[in-house]
Order: sequence, then structure tokens, then C-alpha cells
Amino acid sequence: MKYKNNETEFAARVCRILDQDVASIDARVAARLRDARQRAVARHADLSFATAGGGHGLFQSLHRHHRGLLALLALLMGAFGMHVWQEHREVATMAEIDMALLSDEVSPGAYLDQGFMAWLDRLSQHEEDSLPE
Amino acid sequence: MLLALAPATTTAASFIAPAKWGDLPADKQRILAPLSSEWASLESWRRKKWLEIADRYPRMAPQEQERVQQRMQTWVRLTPEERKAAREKYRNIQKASSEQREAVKQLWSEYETLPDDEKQRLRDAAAKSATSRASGTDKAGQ
Repeated sequence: MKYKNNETEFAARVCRILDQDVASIDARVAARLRDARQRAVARHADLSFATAGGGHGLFQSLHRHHRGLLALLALLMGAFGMHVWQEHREVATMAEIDMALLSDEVSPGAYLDQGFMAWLDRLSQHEEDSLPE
Repeated sequence: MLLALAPATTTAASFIAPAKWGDLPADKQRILAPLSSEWASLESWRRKKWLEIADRYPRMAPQEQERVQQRMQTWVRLTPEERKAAREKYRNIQKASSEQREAVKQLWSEYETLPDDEKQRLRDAAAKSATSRASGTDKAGQ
């Protein structure tokens, strides 16, 4: 019982000494200690939310991996840009052919006229056959 | 950056092709006037293609411009297969020598002067020949 009383008395003395030291701490040091404590508590709360799962946890996780997300976005934008550019190249090539075809002396209808194409083949064949050996 | 890489003959207009005829600039409407009634029914890439043609149109010779105006509507009304076939035959002929290309032009102008019944006779003969060739291939394949 005497041992117990001694222990209580020792704890009371320690508290008294600590309280005296707290009172003598510089105001700036006290403010820094308070900020550090608040940051530690806030970080602990964030970790608790992230590990608890759910939408908020996912958002926190994405936020922490924002660099990877930005890289993915850049990749998607690049792929989309390439697709647009490729389509434009194909359209430009098609426009070039169609413009040449439509402005040519020979009407596009000639290439679809089976009679003309057959006539052309027959005359070409005839010319080849009549060439001197 | 894309625009900077585009060919010199291309403008930003052909990257975006409005579906409404009324949204086209006045100069494009004038050039593409034969397509006004079909414009809205064309697929996006075909509208872009026609805008690309309209961009190049002012640099064409007047006679070529006239031909494009006359043939635009007929061309647009062809089936995709017909357009594809015409492009392929045209490209094949462009690979031939200049003398052969000149001969094709000459023959086409001669063919155009043939009476209609003569042209029809040639078409019928070509169709008959194609049918017999196809059945011969079928029999050979059996």
C-alpha cells in the first residue's frame, strides 16, 4: 500500500514538472508542435478512409496516383490525335483521287460502262495481235 | 500541332464538316452547290472529303472545274462499290504509258459518238461474255 502511494506521488510530481516546462515553452515552438500533431492526426484519418474502401477511398487512391493518371490521359489523347490525323490523311488521299477522276477528260462513267470496257479490251487485243512479230 | 503537320493544300475547314448545309461557308456552298440536297445524308468522312475538294477547287483549270460541277451529283449517287470500281480502273489506267492513256481518251470520245443502240449491243455482249466466263469458272471449280 505504501508502494502504491509512492507511485502516485511520483506521477503527480512528474506531471507538475511537465506542466511547469510547458508553461515555459516558447510560443512559436508550441505552435509548431500543435501543427505537427494536427497533421499527424489528419494523415491518420486519411489512411483510415482509404483502407476502409468505397468511393472516397478510391478518390484518395487516385489522388495519390495522379502522376500515373496524367500519363494515361496523355496516352489516350495521343491515341485520339493519331486517329484524327490518320482519318484526315485518308480523306485527303481520297479527295485527291476523286478530284482527278471527276476532272479528267474521260468521264468516271466510262469505267463503269461494261460496253466501253469490253470495247477497249477488244481493241487492245486486236492491236496486240496485229503487231509485227 | 495537327494543323501544323497538315499538308500545305489543307485547311482547318476539312477537319470539321458541318452536317447542315446552311452551316457551310458561302464559298463552299457555291462550289458544292450540286450536292446541297444530299449533303445532310452524307457520312462525316465524305463531307470532309468534299470540303477538301472544295479547298483545292479554286486552283483547278476552268474546264476541269466545269467537269467537276457536271459530274459531282452523279458521282455521289453511285453505290460505294461502283465508286470503288471506278477508282480502281482509273488508277490502273494512270499507271499505263502516256500514249496508252491518250489512246483511252481518244477511244472514249469515239465511243461517246456511237449510236445508243450500238452502245447497248456492246453492253449486252459484255454482260453475256461475263456470264459465260463466270459459269466456265464455276464448272472448272467443280
